[in-house]
Amino acid sequence: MTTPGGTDESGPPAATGLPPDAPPSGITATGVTRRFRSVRALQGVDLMAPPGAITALVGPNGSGKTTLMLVLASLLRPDAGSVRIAGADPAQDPAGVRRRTGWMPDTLGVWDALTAREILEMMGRLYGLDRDVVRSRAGQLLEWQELSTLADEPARVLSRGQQQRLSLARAVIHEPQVLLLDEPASGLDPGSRVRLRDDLRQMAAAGKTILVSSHVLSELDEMADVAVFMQDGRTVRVEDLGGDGATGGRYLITALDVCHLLTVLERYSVAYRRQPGRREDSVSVEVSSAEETADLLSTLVGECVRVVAFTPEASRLETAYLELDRMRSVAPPAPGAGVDDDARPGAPGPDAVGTDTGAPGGANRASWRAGRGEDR
Amino acid sequence: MSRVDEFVQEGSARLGWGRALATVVRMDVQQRLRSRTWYIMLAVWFVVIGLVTWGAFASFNVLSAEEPVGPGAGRFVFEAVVGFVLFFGLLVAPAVSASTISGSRSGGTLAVMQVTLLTPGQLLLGKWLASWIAALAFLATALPYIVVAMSMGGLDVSGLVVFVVMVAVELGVVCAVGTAASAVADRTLFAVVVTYLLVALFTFGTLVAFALTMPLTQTTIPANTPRWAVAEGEDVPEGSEACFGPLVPQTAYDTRATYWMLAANPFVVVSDAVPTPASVPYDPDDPDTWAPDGVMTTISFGVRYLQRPPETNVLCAYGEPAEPGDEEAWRGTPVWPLGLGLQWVVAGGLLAWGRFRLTTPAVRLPRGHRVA
Repeated sequence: MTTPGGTDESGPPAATGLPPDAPPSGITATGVTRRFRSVRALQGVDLMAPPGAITALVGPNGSGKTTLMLVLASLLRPDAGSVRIAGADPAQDPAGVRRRTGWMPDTLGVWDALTAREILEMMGRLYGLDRDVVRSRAGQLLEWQELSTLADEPARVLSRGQQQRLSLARAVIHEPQVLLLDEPASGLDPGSRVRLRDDLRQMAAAGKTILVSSHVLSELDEMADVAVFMQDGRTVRVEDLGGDGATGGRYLITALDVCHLLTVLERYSVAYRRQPGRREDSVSVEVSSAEETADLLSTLVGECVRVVAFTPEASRLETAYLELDRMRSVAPPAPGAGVDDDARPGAPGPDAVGTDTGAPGGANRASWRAGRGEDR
Repeated sequence: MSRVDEFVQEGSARLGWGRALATVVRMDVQQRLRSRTWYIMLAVWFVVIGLVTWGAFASFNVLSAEEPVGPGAGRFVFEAVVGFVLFFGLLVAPAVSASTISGSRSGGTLAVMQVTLLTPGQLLLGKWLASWIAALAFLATALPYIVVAMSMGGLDVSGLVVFVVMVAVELGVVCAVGTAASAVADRTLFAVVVTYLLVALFTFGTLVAFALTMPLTQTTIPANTPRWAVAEGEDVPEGSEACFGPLVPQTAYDTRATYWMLAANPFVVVSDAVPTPASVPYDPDDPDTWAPDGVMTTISFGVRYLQRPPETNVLCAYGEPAEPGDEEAWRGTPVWPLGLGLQWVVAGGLLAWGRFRLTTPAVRLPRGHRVA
């Protein structure tokens, strides 16, 4: 398996004419706004995607993810704000941006009658690559995406997943430093998803800047280093997904003897919640930090609770996403909420995780207490 | 920091025109070549042109009556074929061209091309060339019949070449209009309809405009009564006219002010561009030399005729008998450069608008449309 980002390959790096150690500077966007007539699609986006990392763009439908992707891909001019892609401004120097950016759209654009190889070769030509270079590079990419056997079939015979992979190969034909992937995992089977994740991780390790938007949060949780949350056309939160992965939040504890587990929890006055339905042998507890999590587990083991499983109830990304979603349904729309949201991107980091801010979280906790009361 | 600047400057180099156009044209043409409907259409076309050739040949025989094949059959049949190819080309070219850009827009491939180093101009021009090539395939399919017509004689090769070249040029104009419309319009259907309407404007609109303004050109010419020498002993030679009596105003139409409206008609452009055949050797004493004019020659003569001053259409204008030979001597001025110019003004304007709509980063989007 060859990597598209391998600097040791003879052809491709020279083809783009870039020095192998060109200064990588990722994606920066500040205060980007864009409206379509009455619809304010982007209302102030601040984004920093560093090179060598995968940045996830997360948000509900209609939150402006695709619009932001289009702005970054130099297809759409923002009304205000500044954008820098690998040091170039899409408004001033679109060609410079395009040379360094690979864009994989959410709609699959495939030339039905052309073969996969032809599509790659012709797109490479349109990026100014020479004929010989483009030929060998197309071959490499087809092999990389395991499309070699279908390379000379018309693209319409490819399955959706294969077309997605072709689309990814097309996006990196000119060895871009920056990759913009709009919903790359949609329609992929589990195997292809794992492959995609590995491919992206590989490219990130080779120093590329990768921005991925997706709805599949568990997927993003595994591959992304940073998550940027979008809501109503704003970036509302930045979440660092690096580190060991264990922080606060709700944990699900399964034990062989539930009664003993409950006794121990009550002895240490840990609030818990019984799981309804088929997971009766599990309880859910809330912890506030990684430290507390470790302490709780060692306490349980020390008290001879035979723990079978001790797992986070939801991925961090999921927790944060649902929390934002909850806040959105409670918070008043438009101008009033806007002031609050503006302040938020400035306070990123792991501290924000799991800390309930404002009324909605509080209300939730109250109902949880009530539930616990019933259990007793 | 200087490295970044250097890098940015290096990056802004554009894609060469030759490579850009070649790639866009190749992608487009190859797509068309691989669709089966394309070949079915060409086959149907080939058969239809065959029928037209045969029909023109048969009607020539009826018209010239004397012999099965007269010496002028080649030109008559050829003009019928060319006229028909042009007519159907005007119908096919919008369908071929007006779906190119809007089609790839809805197929999601346009944006993918726009994020490459292609400039909007290169994209538009490439798409135009590709659709023109597709339209020319129909002209090429008709070529065997043109050869058949040639073999019937009575054709000058230079006129033939000009005919074919001008039909190709007209198809190019229509394809330019169609391609530009497809870049401007949000929907393929709308682009096709707009292109057909513009073709109809050129083809029928010019005729309608000319006909409607005709009454406005009405004027009067003083003229008296012609009298023909019918009996022997008169002082005028037999067959010619003499003018007698007082001058009376007679109505006539001065179409010199309006004939240009017909110039933009594709049929006028094509037929007017072709030099009148040098051999118009109709000899009244030799019936073999008579041949009916072809449809294109008739159109050309018609437009040149409209350029004449009104008195030439009035017998005994100003009390003068018409000079014999005037009719033949009248050549008029060519109108096809004017017609082609008018057509290109429209096509060029549309192309500029289309280029603007393809420019990215886009300032505005078509209503209800996503860029991707």
